[in-house]
Order: sequence, then structure tokens, then C-alpha cells
Amino acid sequence: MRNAKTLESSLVIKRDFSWKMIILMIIGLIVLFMLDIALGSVTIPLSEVWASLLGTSDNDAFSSIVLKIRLPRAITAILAGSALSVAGLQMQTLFRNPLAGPSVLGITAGASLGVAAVMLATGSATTAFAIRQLGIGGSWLIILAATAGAMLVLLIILAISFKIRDNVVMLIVGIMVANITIAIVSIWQYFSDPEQIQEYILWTFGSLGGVTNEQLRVLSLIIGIGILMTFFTSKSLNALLLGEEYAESMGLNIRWTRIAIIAITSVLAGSITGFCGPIGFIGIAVPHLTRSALNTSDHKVLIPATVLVGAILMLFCDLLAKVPGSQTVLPVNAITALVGSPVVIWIILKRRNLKRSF
Amino acid sequence: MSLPKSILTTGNLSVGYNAKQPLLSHLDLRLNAGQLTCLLGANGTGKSTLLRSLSGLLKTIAGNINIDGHPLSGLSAKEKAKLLSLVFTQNIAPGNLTVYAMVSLGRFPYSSWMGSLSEVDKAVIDWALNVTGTTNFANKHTDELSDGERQKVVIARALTQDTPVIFLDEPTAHLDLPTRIEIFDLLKTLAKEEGKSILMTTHHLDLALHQADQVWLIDRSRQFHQGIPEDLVLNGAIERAFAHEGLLFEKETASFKKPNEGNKPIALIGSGVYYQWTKNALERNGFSLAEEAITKIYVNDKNVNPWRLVPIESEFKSLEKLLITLKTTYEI
Repeated sequence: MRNAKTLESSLVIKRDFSWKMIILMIIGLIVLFMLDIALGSVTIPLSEVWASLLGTSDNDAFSSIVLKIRLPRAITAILAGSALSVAGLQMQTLFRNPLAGPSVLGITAGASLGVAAVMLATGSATTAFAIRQLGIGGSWLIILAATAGAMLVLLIILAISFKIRDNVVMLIVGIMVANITIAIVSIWQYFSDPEQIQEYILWTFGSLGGVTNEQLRVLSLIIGIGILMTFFTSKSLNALLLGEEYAESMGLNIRWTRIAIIAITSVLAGSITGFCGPIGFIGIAVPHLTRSALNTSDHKVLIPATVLVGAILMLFCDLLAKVPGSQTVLPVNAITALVGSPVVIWIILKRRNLKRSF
Repeated sequence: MSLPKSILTTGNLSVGYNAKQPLLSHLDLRLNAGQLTCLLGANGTGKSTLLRSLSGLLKTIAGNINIDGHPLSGLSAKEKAKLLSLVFTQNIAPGNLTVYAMVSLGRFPYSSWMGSLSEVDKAVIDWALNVTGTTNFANKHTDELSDGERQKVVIARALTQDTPVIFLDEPTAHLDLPTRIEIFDLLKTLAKEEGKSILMTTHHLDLALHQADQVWLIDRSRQFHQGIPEDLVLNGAIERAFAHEGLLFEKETASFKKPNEGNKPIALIGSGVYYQWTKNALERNGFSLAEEAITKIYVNDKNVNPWRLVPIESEFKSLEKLLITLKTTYEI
């Protein structure tokens, strides 16, 4: 103990993450973003892509594809990737569980229920047509329904969270609520017409291409606020790393923190699910990838880094989904799982520090 | 000598999980300031429950708790966190944090809303690392530490919270003997030199009785006793609290032993450490010491062969050899 005192001056605190990594991530994000805009089913020369972005292109068709299809799609990919990843990070810290993610708490399932309600319950195709005739944009209706569904599940879970203090129990409750929701959707599908089911199933494949420029503004605003709010909770999230009891003993209000985290998560994950369909895997995988890459659990570093890694991975998946050089576009939901799962397995095998974060 | 100041007091406190059947009731406790107090009691007597109740994590059934003159129930979470810090039994330190990052989390009640550390915060962290002797591995990750080192880091985390009172629940569990002593020593130093008022639960009766300034004791009938360790040994409170069928309490060493059931009388003549361990070996092997026994063992650690067996007059270099001879030759 006495020896330690003489060493005081020699104490130099190392940064436990690397700036180089962050810079690499930013470069990677820019490169993938450009690639995602440059590549697609229609071959557009690079010079034309650039000209379209700068607004100097003479080719209306090319410029229209780049500005109205590819650019919104790439921005949607960034928003979806970061929102789902940040939501997953918060869930994993709150529940101190490496398997937690937005889909686990039933938020995604709730959104699916909302979408199913619109697509399956509007009765015959004529009623659906009538709704559209009323002037309500079909996609907006679906988004509202998805958000409402996510909120419904959220309210149930919040109500239960007032009774339960234990986060692991909360996680199990979340999984059960998700299962109930999925079961309801299943039964609904069973009694629905094939055409209606087809429309719903198409939505469940997930798509980054369905978001218009106008909707993108709203989505960007929601996601931006959500991520900012998350960053503001990073002190509380750090305290939660030691477990709820320690966090509470240090003066953290567990109940309100939990409500805030669940609310932010459902807004982030619910809105993305409404716009893009249920995109799995990203929310669970990206926080693990980020922690492994930076070898830290400090949320002030992890949150911005997770935003970057989430955006990178989503753009990469979108590039693959577009199957460069072909006319096909694969469902993005399948790609995220196909790409991400092996990556996570590889990371776990290479760096055995996944488990020690929990 | 004036009475030590109390930093934490309770009045008619009842604690437990069921309001109709409190585990402990009518407690009027006084935690002495600047002292190490050990909370002792057999398993299931409610030590942890009492600790959790005193820290406000568990709702009390009746009565009041005062910390440093403030009623606990009237304090906000943040105010409480500035008066009282806790170290829990379960030691789940996330390995992805460095020791420094983890210890600095203790500044939670003081740091800005984003959790950035001021110069004052940094000075307190440096001090906490210093007094716990953990400065050297400040940059290590917590899973690279030994159990004892990790325990010191956890204590350092509590110190950075800069509270007059620290509660620890079984801080010496799962540690080997030298490390246990080290932790006790550290806590005692913190009480004596840094003026911390420390309350800890422990199962290590021997260490507690040798190191604690004060003992809080819950006996089997859930009665509460408080005093300095020696008084509680002499008045039999310790013995009653831990009394166990088939165990004898030795007041001399304050330790519990299985009573000697030996039926083979043997006389042992000698003194000192060699005498003590010979006695131990004999009793362990079913002999009982009796002065008038025909078989006698003379112990003298000055001799090359310290043990001499009478009447067969042989000498032995080790106790093991002595025991073999006793068993085979004498068949007693």
C-alpha cells in the first residue's frame, strides 16, 4: 500500500480504445455509401452518378434513379443499421445479456402485429383499395400501424416492469410477449386470403427501398433524436455495467432509467420496422462486433462506434442484396442473417472476450 | 476515553421480507464512526437482509434509520449515494472495462450529466487506487486480475464514491487465507487512517474477532448483541450464536472444534508448538490425553528426534512415524 503512493506520478491512463479504429470505420462508411449509390440493377457510369449527386447531370433517367431511388435507399440503410444497432446495444446493457436485442423484447413482433392488422384485416382487396382512395398513403398507414403495435407491446412491458425489478425476469417476459404476438399474427394469417398473406409476407422480407424522400425526412428526424437521447443516457448505461444493485447504490434511478431505455429502443426499432420491415440480426450482432473491435464497454465510445458499425454492416448487406451485376434484389432480412451470423461466430472464436462483457 | 461517535443509528428497526414476520425486530443499532464493525451470525439469521435494509435497498418494516444525522427515508438516491457506498458479494466485473474505468464509475453521483470527470474526480480516483494498492494495474482489464486484486478494485470503486460509510457484504468470501487477511487489513487501515465507518458481514469468525473494532452479532434466536469482540467471546454470546450440535467452542482461541471422542488414553509431556501439533495429531487419531496413562510421549524440539515414546523407548523424527508405531505396536 505504501509502495503505491510513490508510484502516483507514474500513473498514466491509457485510452482503452483506438482512434485509428474509429477513423477506419468512418472511411469504410464513406466508401460503402458511395458504392451503394454507384451500384445497382441499372448500370450507370461513375461520372454520371457523381454528376447526378451534384445536380449537373443531363441524363434525367440516371439522375432520377440516383436521387430518387439509390440515395434514399442508401440513407435508409444507414438509418436502419445505426438505429437497430444502438437499440440492441442498450438492450444488451440493460438486460446484461448478450442475446438481448430489439426483436427480443417483442418490439419487432408488436410492429408486425400492427402491420398484419392493416394488411390482413382490411378485408377484401376492394376495402384496401378504398382506404387508399381516401387519400391515406398506404405506406403511411402501415408505418402508423407498426408504431402503434410496437407501442402496444411496449406499454404492456412497461406496465409489467413496474412490478418486476429483476432484469432477467423482464427479458423472459419480453420474449413471452413477443411469442404471444407472433402467435396472434399466425392465427390471423391462417384465416386470411392468400393475396393478403402475400402482401404481408413481402413486408416481412424487409426492404430498404420502400422509403420515399418525404418519409425519409421524418425517419431521419426520429432516428436522429433517438440516437442523441441514447448518447445522453451513456452515463447511466455505464453504471448499469456493474449490475442494477451497484447502479442503484450509486444513485441511479433504476425505474426511470429502464423506462427511458425501453422507450428510446422502441421508437428506434419500431419506426425502422414500420418503414423497412422486420430486419433481424443487426441489433444483436453489431454491439458485439463493436465491443470486440474496440475492446471497451464505455458507452460514450460504444454508442458512436455502434452507429458507425451498424451503418457499415447494413450498407454492406444492402450491396449484397442488390446482387451487383444482376437484375435481382434479394430480401435484405435474409442477407443480414447470412452475412452477420458467420461474422459473429468468427469474432467469438477469434476474440474470446464476448462473454466477459456480461 | 470518550464514547466513539455514531454515524449510523436505528430506532426500533424491524427488517425482513414479510411485514407480519419480520426477520429481526426492535433493533436500536449504533455504527461507530471511523471503526471497522463486523456483522456476524450463522447462516440464515438475516445478516444480508439487515445490510440491505440499512442501505435502503430493501424497504424496512418499521422503525427509522439515520445516517450522519439524516433520516435515510428522506434522502434522494443521489444524496444517499454520497453518504453510503456498497460492495456486494457477487463480484461481476465486466472484463471489457479497465480497472481505471471501473473505479471511476464510483464518481457517478458527482460527475457531470455526461459522466465526464473533473480534476477533483480524478484526484479522488487516484487516491482510491493508491490506498487500495491498485495503482499498478489501473490500465489492466478487470478479468486479468486475481480474485484478491479484483476485490481491492471493487473496494476502490466504493472509495471513489467518497462516502463516510461503507457497507460490504462478504468481501472475503472466495478468497484464500493470506488474501483474506490482506483485505481485512486494508479495511482496518481505511477505518483508522481515512476515517471511514465500515460495516461488513463475514463468515470468517477468527479474522473478525481479531481485527474488528466492534462486532454486531445476531444469534440463533435472532437476538442482537453489540460490543467489542473480546467481551462477546467472554460473555458467551459468540458461543451461543454459533452453537452447533456436536461442536465445542474453545474460548482460548475463539474457535469451534469437534469434541475429542478418543478412547485411547496416552500421556503427553512437553510444551510449545511441537506439543500443540502433537496433541492435534493424537486427538485427530482417536487418542485422549491422560496424565496417568502408561504410554507416554515426551516432546522436546531441541532433540534431533523430538519424540520419545515410553515405555518402548524409541525415538521418532516425524509425527507420522510416531503415529504408525503407535497404531501397529500398541494396537490401542
